[in-house]
Amino acid sequence: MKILVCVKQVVDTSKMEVDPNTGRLNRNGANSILNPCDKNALEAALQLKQQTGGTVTVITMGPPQAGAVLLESVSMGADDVYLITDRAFGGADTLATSYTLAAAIRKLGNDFDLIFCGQESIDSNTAQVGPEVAAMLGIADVSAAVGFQWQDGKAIVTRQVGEGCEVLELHLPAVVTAAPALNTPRYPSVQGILRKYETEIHQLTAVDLDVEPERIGLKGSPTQVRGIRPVVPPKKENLKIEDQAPAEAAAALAEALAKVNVI
Amino acid sequence: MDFSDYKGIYVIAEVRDGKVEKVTGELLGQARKLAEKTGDPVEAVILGSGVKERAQDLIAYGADVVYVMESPLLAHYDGMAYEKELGALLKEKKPSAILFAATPYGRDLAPRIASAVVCGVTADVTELSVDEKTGLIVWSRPAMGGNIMADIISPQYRPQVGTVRPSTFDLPEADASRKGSVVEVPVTLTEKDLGTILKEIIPAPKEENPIEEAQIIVAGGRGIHSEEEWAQLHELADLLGGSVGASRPICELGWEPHSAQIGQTGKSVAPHIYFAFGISGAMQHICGVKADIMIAVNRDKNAPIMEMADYAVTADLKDFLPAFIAEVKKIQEK
Repeated sequence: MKILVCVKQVVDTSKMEVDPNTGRLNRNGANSILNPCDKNALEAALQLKQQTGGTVTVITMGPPQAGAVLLESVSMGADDVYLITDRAFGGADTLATSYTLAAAIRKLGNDFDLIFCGQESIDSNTAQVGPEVAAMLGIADVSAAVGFQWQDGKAIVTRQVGEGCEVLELHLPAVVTAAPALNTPRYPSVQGILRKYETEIHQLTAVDLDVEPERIGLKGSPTQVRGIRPVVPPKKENLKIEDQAPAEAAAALAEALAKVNVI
Repeated sequence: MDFSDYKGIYVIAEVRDGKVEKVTGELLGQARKLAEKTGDPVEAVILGSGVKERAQDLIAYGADVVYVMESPLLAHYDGMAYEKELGALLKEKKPSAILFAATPYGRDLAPRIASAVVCGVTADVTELSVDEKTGLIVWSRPAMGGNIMADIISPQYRPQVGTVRPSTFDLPEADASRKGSVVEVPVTLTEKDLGTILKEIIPAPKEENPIEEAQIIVAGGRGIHSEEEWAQLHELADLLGGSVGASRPICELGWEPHSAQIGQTGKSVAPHIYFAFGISGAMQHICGVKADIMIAVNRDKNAPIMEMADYAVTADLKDFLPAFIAEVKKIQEK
């Protein structure tokens, strides 16, 4: 089985703070890490490989330093890794990113049986790249999988919906995006850590891919951030209700709480 | 670029168990508000099996036109099949904007449609507005762990698309007498177009809703005098989608398990909203509470909690609780 995993290097937003006065991000002490859900995606790929044999290839798009997350993937067990990097890819939103990843997947042969992605990145949380890549390749996908099994030559995927879970048989090739609940990612092995020093990161740039220049990078990105602003906390009142009949007090409180969307 | 061909604010409807989902009504209400500013019609698309009867519900919430795509193959959400049918319709109709619900389905379908139609999607929108100068829709969403709001626009591409969080916007009043047109769109799907086969649906186990993770906590203390009164806290918590917490004496009475105990010898909680009913505000309890908004109801207006709370109501709980529950129901039914 040929398995692909798409990963992303992200800033660890849990270590990031916003200056309440300026609304600016304070990145002090926030490291770049392998996006947490992408580890679940890689874990699912590695488990599948253990069951069926084959290879696990990991790709990422980003600046040269994003190679670090590819080496981390190798230390966990990935077989080969590709860095898709070019200044022309810079400023990409999810559509331009997915377009570029799809082009890279075609370049690599477009013969993957399964493509795993993390459900969403912690720095933008859109959960769009997985389904967008699937649509660009014209294949099926299941988003936010909480279960994945390989049974009798079939991929059985569980996805959480409103009041429960749907168990689906997924036609391959397909994209599966991993929710945090899918599995517990393994730690790097000693062998893997040693192997990462010998592993070559293959690079793919814009000229290596069959891409239209107006579909990549900032130019190929339909969404633009017009601006950011600090979140204004809901305006609560300092309200005291005294000396009222219970029904009137209840109505007054309910009305005040509806105003700040508590009810 | 000339986008004068692109007209209409579209809402992709969701139907479950034969009923239009509440979020779809919320989206139609928002679409109407946007349409008033942009001058567009509001159009809805409904895909599924046996969904045609629901078209009038969408009109009642504000749709001028409803496109119905009926097929047994659309009975369950399948990304590939839904993208194929909806994508073809949208390419033909050229909407100015499309609103999807940010549900597990909408969050999968919207990006698939973006790839098919070539447009952008703003995820998990919580505020919507129209830029007065350009007429562009401004899609706003919390970013960076909810610390900032980002305002997103799509000036160079159409349609403009977003997924909108459920329960963010008010459900408009349905007007059953509203008129609109229903257009049946032929579906050309075959089995081969499906990417998935639904094997089974596993209902979620009754959620325990642990108080450490709760956004809303309805807590009570010694000021509540009977188990019947205590049961009303559960009713209120269910109404608000919250969890019930308790002070130590209540747990010692056995009205609530120890897992619900908040304070020094119990759990620490950090909900968005904390209701304290009949809790005096003793340090042993309150040291375990860090809430954005605290609401206290107590018979004693000099209880320490009344100074800590953002909303302090002096009342007898026996009478106050049933009255308050009735008020909450009234507001929620609106």
